[in-house]
Amino acid sequence: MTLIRQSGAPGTSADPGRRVPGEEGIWVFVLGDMTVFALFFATFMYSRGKNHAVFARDHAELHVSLGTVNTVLLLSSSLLVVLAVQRVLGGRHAGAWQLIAGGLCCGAGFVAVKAVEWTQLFAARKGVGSGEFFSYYFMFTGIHLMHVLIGLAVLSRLIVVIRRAEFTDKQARLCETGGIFWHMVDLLWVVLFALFYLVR
Amino acid sequence: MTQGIQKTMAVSGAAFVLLLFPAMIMIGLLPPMSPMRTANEVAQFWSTNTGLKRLGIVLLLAASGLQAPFGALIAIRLRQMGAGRYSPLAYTELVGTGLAVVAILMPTFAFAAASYRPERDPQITQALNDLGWLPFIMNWPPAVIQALAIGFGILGATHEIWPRWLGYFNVWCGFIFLAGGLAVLFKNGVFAWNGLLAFWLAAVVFGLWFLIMSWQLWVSVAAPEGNSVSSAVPENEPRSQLRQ
Repeated sequence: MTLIRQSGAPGTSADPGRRVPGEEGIWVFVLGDMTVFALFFATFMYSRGKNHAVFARDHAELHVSLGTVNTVLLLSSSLLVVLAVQRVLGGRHAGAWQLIAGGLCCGAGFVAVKAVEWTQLFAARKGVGSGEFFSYYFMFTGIHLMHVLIGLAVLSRLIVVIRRAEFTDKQARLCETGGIFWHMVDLLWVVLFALFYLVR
Repeated sequence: MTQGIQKTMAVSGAAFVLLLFPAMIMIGLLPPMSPMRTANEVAQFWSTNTGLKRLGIVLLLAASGLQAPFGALIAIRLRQMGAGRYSPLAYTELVGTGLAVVAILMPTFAFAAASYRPERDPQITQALNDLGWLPFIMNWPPAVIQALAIGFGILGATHEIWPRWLGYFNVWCGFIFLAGGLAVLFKNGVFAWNGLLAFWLAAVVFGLWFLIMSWQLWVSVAAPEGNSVSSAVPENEPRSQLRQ
């Protein structure tokens, strides 16, 4: 895919203090997505308020330790991507791909842990049809997992782009845009983690 | 092709939405009924106000076809944005828009059958009601095919016709349009066919998508540079001849 720069977009070096990070358009996606997740969280809290006892009972079935491992994985992954994007924007893109590869591994780890967790829940006969709490849990974490998978594809793409011989402002901007998406995935998980695993 | 015809094709997307929602209100699909209703309640619903409901069904059928010219003009824009000699994304869009017409037609006929014989066994009417509602809400592929074809078309464009935010907007819409896809798993809650996320969120974004795409098509028709339909190169000519 060829990415073209809009003529009106400020360059990376023009006014670093004031420009919007990444490509302007990605914020349409990020803010739209976050609005939808805010709606998810609101509906969850509303249902939980109406049915507190059932939610508290089902909540006890989740493995907080697995959720915590996943939170640590995604936060580390975000940190690695931040370091990589910093290098790229600083003009030292050569070593950045290893950092992104590290982030990619953490993300893959997240998917693996989620698979283990879901397998255990399925074995305990919990599914999307086992009451309100679990239908929310599987739907919301499932939609989030889809975001993680798309994010992994984006990170793989960034690795390819960084390792190419040609590397200009355009590619640097692409790395920043991909990073923004990955941080959004991370941020949404932190809220999901708090909502499903921590709130009692 | 004249600008007038192109502009008509552009506004047909908005016209679709402006007919769709009033028709749904006439039929009684908006607000949607709960999937938890008993067969008798469903039969009761379809046997009252039958005249208005059937008129709404006729209107809904008429609205569905308006998506075709709208989608065809989008496909032309995708061709104009692409670099290669062929335009697979434009073809994908055409398939998507054809399916989108069917996505409205199919449930409309089921609803028509439900309202057709008020005196019949309520169980049968309930089955027809389900046969209308489930595809009406669950059928995400037509909308997602279109949103993603347009999204990738814009983000990968070699000739800029539409702003890049529109590409990201389409990818986001593609994500929202998935919300109804699991309606068959739920009879109540936010993911059921009358739920906040499966119905209301998806319906609002669906309407918004048509209005925004219609507006952007209109703007692209009015734009002076080589945006007329004739500027798309026939497939047996090299793309380099595209006026840019």
